[in-house]
Amino acid sequence: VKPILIVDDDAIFNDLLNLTLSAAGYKVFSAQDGVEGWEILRKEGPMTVVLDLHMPRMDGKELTRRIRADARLRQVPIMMLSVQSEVETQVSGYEYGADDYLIKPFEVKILLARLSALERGTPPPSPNRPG
Amino acid sequence: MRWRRSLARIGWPIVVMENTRAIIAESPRTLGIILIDHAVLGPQAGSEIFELKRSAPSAPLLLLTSKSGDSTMLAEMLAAGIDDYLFDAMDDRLVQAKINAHLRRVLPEVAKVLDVLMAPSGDIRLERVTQSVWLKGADGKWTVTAPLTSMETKLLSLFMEFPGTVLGRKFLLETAWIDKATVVLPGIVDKNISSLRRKLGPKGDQIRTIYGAGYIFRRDSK
Repeated sequence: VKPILIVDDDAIFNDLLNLTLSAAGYKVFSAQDGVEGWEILRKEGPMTVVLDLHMPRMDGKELTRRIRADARLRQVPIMMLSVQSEVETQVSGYEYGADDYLIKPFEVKILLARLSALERGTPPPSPNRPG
Repeated sequence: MRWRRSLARIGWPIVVMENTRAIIAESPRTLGIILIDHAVLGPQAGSEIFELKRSAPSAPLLLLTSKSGDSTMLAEMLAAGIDDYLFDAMDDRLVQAKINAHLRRVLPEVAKVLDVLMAPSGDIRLERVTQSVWLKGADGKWTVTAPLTSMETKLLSLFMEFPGTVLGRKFLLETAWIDKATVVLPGIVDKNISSLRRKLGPKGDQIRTIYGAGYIFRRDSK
């Protein structure tokens, strides 16, 4: 069972996504903001991360930046989700280190297919990689 | 032609091939990234993609398509082996950001190189990730300037990517002003370019004002 972390302050969306990804065979961890998400990642270790761009306390960009700066976590696939479709916002998401950016609302089959493609293309973790 | 122009701007040497058979025959393992036009795929598109991905598993495989609304086709192509898709109408900046993201994952060393820009004069070096600029002195030694802000980094990136080209204030503002949530103050571009010039010292003269048009980054340092 593949672990995945959802970080989104919209409780209803978070629950729906949790149900969808659980049904697709993922072991789902949920967080309400970047602070909670960061704590889960530090405790549970590398896993695919699906995160919202705008959240209280720590937003998606800052969480992405922290993940990419962490030697143990930097290779995890990160998908940003947002209602913001402006080119500049999407580009800045990628520049912060996101691997993919999906605009809400989206079709579940596209979400699952893009997650699979992301996980397929991620190099295996190298425990000896220098930080 | 559109894709060739976009990719050439990023700085990649481009090899054009007619179909998936030609790519597989030409040792695709040497290719950094493969972009395949949906139009060259036959009725067994999924099988073609599967074979192509199998022949070059480490190269990001991106589908170029005009069918942005066909989610079933896109999901099937992702399952067959493409890593992403680009639409004809997609903005060049987004295309570049997506390609860089794929390269960062599979070729971190190459991506690191892409994040470093050198001025044509050879005496200004910008490291985009750390937002730092290095200046080459007359003695050949490099010294780092005061750190740039995000907008100064974006502006200098644009100048160094398009040397010798007049860039209008509107273009610079729309491209470099990432944080749309904040209010755009009048003269924000001029203010940031002024600050950037100060940090570059005498080499800041390479950014010239073209009155009534915008700014140009000179190809030489004289």
